[in-house]
Parts: sequence; C-alpha cells; structure tokens
Amino acid sequence: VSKELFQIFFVVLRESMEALFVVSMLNACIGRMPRGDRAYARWSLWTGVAAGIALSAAIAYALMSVSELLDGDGLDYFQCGMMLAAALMMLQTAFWIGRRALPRVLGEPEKGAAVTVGVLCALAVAREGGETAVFMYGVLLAADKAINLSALIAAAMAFLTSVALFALVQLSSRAIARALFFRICEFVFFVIAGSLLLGAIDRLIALGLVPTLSPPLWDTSRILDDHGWIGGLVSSLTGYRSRPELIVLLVLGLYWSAIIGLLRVRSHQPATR
Amino acid sequence: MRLGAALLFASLAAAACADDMPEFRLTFRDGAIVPLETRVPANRRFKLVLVNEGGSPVEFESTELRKEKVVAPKVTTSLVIRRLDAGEHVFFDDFHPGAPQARIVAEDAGQ
Repeated sequence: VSKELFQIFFVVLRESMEALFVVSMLNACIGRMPRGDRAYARWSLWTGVAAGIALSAAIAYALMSVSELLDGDGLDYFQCGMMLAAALMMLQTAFWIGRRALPRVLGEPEKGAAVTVGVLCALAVAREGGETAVFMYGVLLAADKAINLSALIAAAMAFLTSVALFALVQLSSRAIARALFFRICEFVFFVIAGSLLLGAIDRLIALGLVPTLSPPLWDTSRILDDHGWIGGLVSSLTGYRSRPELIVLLVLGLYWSAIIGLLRVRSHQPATR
Repeated sequence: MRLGAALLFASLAAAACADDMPEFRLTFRDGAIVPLETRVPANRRFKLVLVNEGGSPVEFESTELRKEKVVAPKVTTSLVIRRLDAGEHVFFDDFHPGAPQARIVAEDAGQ
C-alpha cells in the first residue's frame, strides 16, 4: 500500500513540476516588477492558470473518450503544437523577465508581455494537466475498488508539497537581490523552453517529418537513465537524453547558440526605454 | 518462439503485399506489461495496440520510440511507429514507476 502511495505521490508531483516552476517563478517575478507591469501580469497569470485547468479537463475527456480525436498521428501533432507554442511563449517571457532585470529599465508597462504570461501559464498547466487528470481519475476510482484511500492521501500530499514549493519560491525571491532572482528565472525558463523545443522535434521525428540523422551516439543510461525515476524528471525539464542521436545535439546546440547570441546583442544595447 | 517469429514474419510479408501494417499487441495490467519483449521488423511501419486490462491508468512512454500515450483503465488504443532502427528499444509504463521495463526488438527481416 505504501509503495502505491509513494508511486502516486511521485507521478502527480512529477507531472505538475513544469507548471509549478512556471507559475511560482512568474508570480514571484511579477511581485517584484514595477506597478504598471504588475497589475496586468498578475491578472493575466491567474486567468491563464484557470484557463489551463479548464483545458486540462477537456484534454482529459478527449483522452478517455473512445473518440479518435487524440488517436494515432493526431496525438503527435497535438503534443507537438502544444510544446512548440509553450516553448515560444516561454522564450518571450524569459526575455521579458531578463529585460526587467536590467537596472534603470522601469519604463512603460509591456501589456503584450502580460498576455504572453497568461497564455504561457494556460499551456504549462494544460500540457501535463490533462494526463494528470486522467491519472488521478483512474487511481481514485480504480475499477475494482470504491474510493482508493491511499490515492486520496497521496494526492493531498502532492498538493501540499506543491503549495510548499510555491511558497518557498516566493520567499526566496524576497531573500535575494531582484536582478539575481530575475536572472535565475530567466535561465530556468531558457532551459525548460529548450526541453520543450526538443520534445516538439521528437514528435516530428515520430511523424517521420524530421530524420534522426544518426543512430544513438553514446549511452549514458548507466549514469542517469532518462527512463528512470530521477532521469525522467531531469529529461522532461532539461531535454537530457541518455542515448542522443545527432539531431538532438544539433537542436540543443543551435538553440543555445541562438540564446547566447541574443543575450550578447542585448547586453551591448544601451539600457534606455 | 523462433518458429513463431518466423511464421510471424511470413505473415508480415503477406500483409505487406496487402499494404497493411503488422500489428503487435501490448497488454498493461497495473504496472505489468505483457509481453516484456516484442519482435518487430526493422525499418518498417507497424502498429502497436495498447490494451489496458488493469484497474489503474497507464502511460506508454519511451524517449527512444518518441512516444507518450495515456491509456485509461479498460481502454484499448493504438500507436503507429513509422520506422525503427534494428536493435533494442526500451519502453515503460510511466504511471507505475519502478515497474519492470519492456523491450521492442527490431530485426532485419532476413534480406
């Protein structure tokens, strides 16, 4: 029983990790932004979360229904679209936070950025939310039992842990310098966006639209297996692969080169506006 | 087992003429996967039929196969794999961490 409880706790927490990072870090950043930015962005963030929860329910319904909507290739296209959109929104938000970290840049509020924040939160919640909902529905109302008590306890524990992590991020944002905290968030968002981009490319490979270019080049699954408990979590957040093909290295290499290039350009620009 | 595989490949060849994908059935039951090893033809399109016979939801997942699919209890669904390099490809039930992983072994159909 306790093994099942821990499994459920771990799965729920793992599935909600990305959304948790995004929402807690964004909320903390917004709390330390100039008043003009704060008003729009905070409203947009929580509206986005609510929309994401509604979207999760719709996705869960589609996954559980017998309809062919999310069957076969449809599912790959859907996952690919969600990941690409989330990666783009994440990048835009990361650059916005980075701009706001610069000293003396306290100009006009960026309303566009606030909209992006809302869409990003909706996508972050909905992307894994639908699957988590199917999971919770399934374990709570397991076919042969009435209501699964250990599942209920595990879900409550996962929820409390999420709330605690959220609070921890809010507290640490107050404890360290604003610019440093913004830089950390910006970096975390770059990492997650890279992982999402790679995930989208993975779907395109599965659809036969992009080649892998090579067999796996090396195998680090003995050190950290991307199918394992920890490796799976690391892989979903960072794009780590224990058996990467050439395409994986190319995508991540080009992505990080582009990010570093864009950051260079920004650091040479005068901090006006 | 070998004979079974040979017969299977013979039927696959026949199926190919009919322009049909070979189908392979994978059964999930609360963390257990049957069979733990499935032999499929390399570099060819095939279909995996996922059957969840258990009382809890499962998630077919594999970074190598680049597939991720949730299957609710008592539901049957399917995945199409475009092509696989010859060799072993691991997949697992992501909703039952710690349960044994299973393999899909892609083989060149004796050219």
